[in-house]
Amino acid sequence: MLKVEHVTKYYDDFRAVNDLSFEVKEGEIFGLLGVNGAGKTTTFRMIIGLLDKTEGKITLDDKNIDYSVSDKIGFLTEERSLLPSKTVLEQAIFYGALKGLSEKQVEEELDKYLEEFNIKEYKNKKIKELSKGNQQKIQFIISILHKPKLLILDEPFSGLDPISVELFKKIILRLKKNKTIIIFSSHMMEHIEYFCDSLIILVKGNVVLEGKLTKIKEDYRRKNIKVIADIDEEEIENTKGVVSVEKNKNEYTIKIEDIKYVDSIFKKISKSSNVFKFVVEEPTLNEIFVSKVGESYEK
Amino acid sequence: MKNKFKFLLKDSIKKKINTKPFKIINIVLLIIMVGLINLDSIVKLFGGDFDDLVNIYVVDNVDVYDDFKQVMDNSYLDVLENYNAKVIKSDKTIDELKKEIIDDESKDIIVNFTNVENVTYENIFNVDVISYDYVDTLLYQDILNAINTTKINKAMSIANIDQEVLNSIYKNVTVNRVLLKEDLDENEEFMEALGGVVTLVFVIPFFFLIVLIVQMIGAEINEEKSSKSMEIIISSVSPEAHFMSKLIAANVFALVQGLLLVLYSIIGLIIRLLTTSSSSIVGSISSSSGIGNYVNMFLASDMASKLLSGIPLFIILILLSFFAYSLFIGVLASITTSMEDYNQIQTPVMVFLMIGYFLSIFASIYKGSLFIKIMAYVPFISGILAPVMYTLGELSIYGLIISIILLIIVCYLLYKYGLKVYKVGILNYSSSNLWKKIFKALKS
Repeated sequence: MLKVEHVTKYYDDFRAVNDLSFEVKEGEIFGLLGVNGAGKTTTFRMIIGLLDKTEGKITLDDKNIDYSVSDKIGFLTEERSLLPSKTVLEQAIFYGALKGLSEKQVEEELDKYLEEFNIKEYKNKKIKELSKGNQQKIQFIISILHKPKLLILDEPFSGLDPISVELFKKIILRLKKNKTIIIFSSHMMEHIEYFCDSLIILVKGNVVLEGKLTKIKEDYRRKNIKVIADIDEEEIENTKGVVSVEKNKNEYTIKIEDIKYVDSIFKKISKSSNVFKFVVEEPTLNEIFVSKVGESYEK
Repeated sequence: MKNKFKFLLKDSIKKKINTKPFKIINIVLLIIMVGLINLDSIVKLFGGDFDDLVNIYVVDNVDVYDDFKQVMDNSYLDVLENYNAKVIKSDKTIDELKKEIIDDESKDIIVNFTNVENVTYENIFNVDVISYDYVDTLLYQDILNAINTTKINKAMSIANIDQEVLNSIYKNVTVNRVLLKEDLDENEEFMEALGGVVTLVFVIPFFFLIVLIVQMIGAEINEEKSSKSMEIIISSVSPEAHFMSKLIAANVFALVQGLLLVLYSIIGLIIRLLTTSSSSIVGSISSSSGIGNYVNMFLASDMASKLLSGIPLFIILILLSFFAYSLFIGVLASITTSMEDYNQIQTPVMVFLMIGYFLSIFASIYKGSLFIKIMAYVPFISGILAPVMYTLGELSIYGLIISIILLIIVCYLLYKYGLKVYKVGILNYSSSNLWKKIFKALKS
């Protein structure tokens, strides 16, 4: 299990992370979200032992993170961290050896993944000759070659085509099934919703929202009502508790401030003609994110 | 961790040596070295105007030909050989010779000796030196010298001074060179001049190898930083292991390259030996360049014995200097964020090298200079200067040892404090507050 306990990080007088705590169990995917500069990269760097913490403690299976456990960690950085002059095989051997693998083990694992990604022909090509998407695939493969116990994925789908995204998803879920602890960071909220069991949203190093994704959605009072009916748009908009009414084709999305306003809106809608749909839906994570981050900046 | 260090070291060396550019550069270096050592043979192989026979026609109306030819053959034989020139007595008239030269546009020279009306000691004969084009300065000067010597001989003869007396007059004055300092050798004055050449032979490869180290370390650290792979590397191996792997790899590379340069020189000398068919390499060099005597004098001199006796300490000093430069440049490379920054920041290293280079050259000119002697102890400069000063007899063996001790201290301090900066620098991607970060790292 990965435990992050009351971790704070200062760069001189600037507080990059403030009293951050969370736990990620084996086979769990944890979302670490935040706008640019929120403290995500600093947190990742502290988890992999690159940065010293100002305060707090980080442990993997109750052991402090140092070079004795670094072989158990895989890190897919947001930016490409490949050496352009090396070939794919050389790059894999380079990082694999640093994670304690022999050249033979690296080549066996690499061949397996290259075949799965259908890019076997790139094995002896130089990194700089590959497209952005293929570089990302190689970077992902290299980060999991040594079967890490803890895997940090920072924007893993960057530059990928939809087919490759699906392949990535399949492999990430397989790793989850194989009890890998995964920390996932992305600005694509649909990916977070797809993968993450629990998450934290950071704003300026502070936690503004944390917990299980289902619980977060449940507790979030703002809801969306999907309606297909001949409604008086202006009348609904002026109803108490309604934030906005948006029409997409023949379907309306009515955003409400709180779940308590559902009854009153239902009564109004039921008076309309041709009512085919009235569904109360959880808000998307994107809405929750925008709302929470916005609130935090207003403060 | 030990295996990871070994892996990083192996990878770093392999990256430098097992590359196409390295192989191509070394083929080029081999060709250049062999070519330089055999340059005169190569020049002669291709031929040219210098190959043409130059006839020095003597038109003798005053009976001085034998004397003139003897002077030319005895005193200026090497010049005649170098210019492929031959002194010939001509029976043709001066006009016939002139016509021939003009028609052929040849390089031949006419030396026309003619009588004067009133012979005096000052004015024994007239001479015209006639050629179609300009004559090379050295050859022309030697012809003039031979004419003057001929005139003196003729004047002596007119004055009834016989050959024996003449030889006695010409005999060099026996100079008894006395040096009051007991341990000095009279040949050393000449050796001092030769010292300048010896220092260049030593200094240029040193300079070249340091520049290689500087470039290698900077390029590698910058590549890892700019590609962000540094984060992955440092999350797996300690900065100490990473730092040392880079330094050792660059030094191993420099030594390999240095040994290859020595090997190329040996190949060049062997080729020279085989192509000039001389009995020894020294003889081979001397036979064509005429410096054999000087080489033999050098080999027999104190300077050569000093050079040989100092080699073990020179090697230690040079290796330590390489290491000190590597440490310094490694730290500098870690705090830069791009190759452009690095190119700017390596200026101090180049300045140190240039100071050492020029002081080494000046050392044989400004003998006894206290300033140069002090500089021979200064780390970074001592690597070039101290061996040169020792070879020139300006620094004792204890001086060399002090230079080595000072270098060890600097290497230790650079490692201790440089590593702190390195740890911060390699993960720093911004140049803002850089000095603040460095001082903070040093304090920590």
